[in-house]
Amino acid sequence: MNRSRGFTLIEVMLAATLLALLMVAVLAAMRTFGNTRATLDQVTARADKTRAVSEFLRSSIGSAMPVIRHGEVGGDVETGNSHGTYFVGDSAELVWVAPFVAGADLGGAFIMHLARVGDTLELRWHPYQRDTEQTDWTGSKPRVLLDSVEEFEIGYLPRNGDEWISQWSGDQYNPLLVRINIRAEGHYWPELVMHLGGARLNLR
Amino acid sequence: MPVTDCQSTDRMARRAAGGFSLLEMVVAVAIMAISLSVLYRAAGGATRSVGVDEKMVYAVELARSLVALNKLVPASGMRDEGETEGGFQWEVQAEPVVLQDPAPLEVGQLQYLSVTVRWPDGFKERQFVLNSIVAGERAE
Repeated sequence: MNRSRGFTLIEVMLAATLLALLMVAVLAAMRTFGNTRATLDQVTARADKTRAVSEFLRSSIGSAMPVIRHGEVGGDVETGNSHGTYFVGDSAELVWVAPFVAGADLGGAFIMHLARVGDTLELRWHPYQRDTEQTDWTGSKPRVLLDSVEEFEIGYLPRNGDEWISQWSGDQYNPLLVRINIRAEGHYWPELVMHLGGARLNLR
Repeated sequence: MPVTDCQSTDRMARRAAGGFSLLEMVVAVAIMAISLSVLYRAAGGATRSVGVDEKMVYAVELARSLVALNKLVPASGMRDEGETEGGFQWEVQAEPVVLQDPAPLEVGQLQYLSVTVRWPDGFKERQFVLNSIVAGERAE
């Protein structure tokens, strides 16, 4: 008899309030999940990029070969027409020769050109040929390594105990160490230091 | 046997007509709350491990740079430490390798290098250690 009476207004309101509170909690949880997912994707992408770019720069600059850049012996180092190693750079760009595998059918020594262009970090490459004097960059498309670069600086250490310098003009030997400082997307990168060992060009 | 059968069907019928009891509702809601909180914690765990992964990338790169910077250390060993932007504390330590007699090299020409990078992660501290052997400067 009592059971068929139905609910009182207070009971219904209490139930509705409880339901509403529960829904609010569940919705808040759902939204947090959604935000978390977006943030996770962002952080994972950033970590992946940091890892890939650092690893690439470290291995390819670290394996720079002291090969001959053609030019006049005793020529002008500043304009790059002297005879020396193919390792020339300043604080914003660097040209070097390193073994590089791009895809399945390309391999061997490549001339690499890393430079900051606007707020991107670009890499170009070109097969290294012993007898070319001037590299023709028109056929090579630049690849973007990083977007929204805020700071990019290359430093060179010639010998142990020397000071870091901001220009390497392609002499007879490679620097001992190269360091790269990057700040991109509002984040500082760990300083990248590569050991080149100061290999000397063998002119025979 | 038939008696109990009869009793149980009777009870079930009564219960079905009367809806859930308060105790049953409480148990159901509690189970839901527990499962929600487990889900929440799992998502939090995933977030934390991704954060740890990013810090780890930084720490590994920093440690590799420090090894490259210390390829040649004084023959007597060395110790250096510092802190980077982002709260990474690093420590570099080099000790001469003790060689067995008769030693083919002078003591100090080979050095154990240990690079430690530490960073805070919530209440605890994480660290990454790289060990290597490097050359020591020849005593003059």
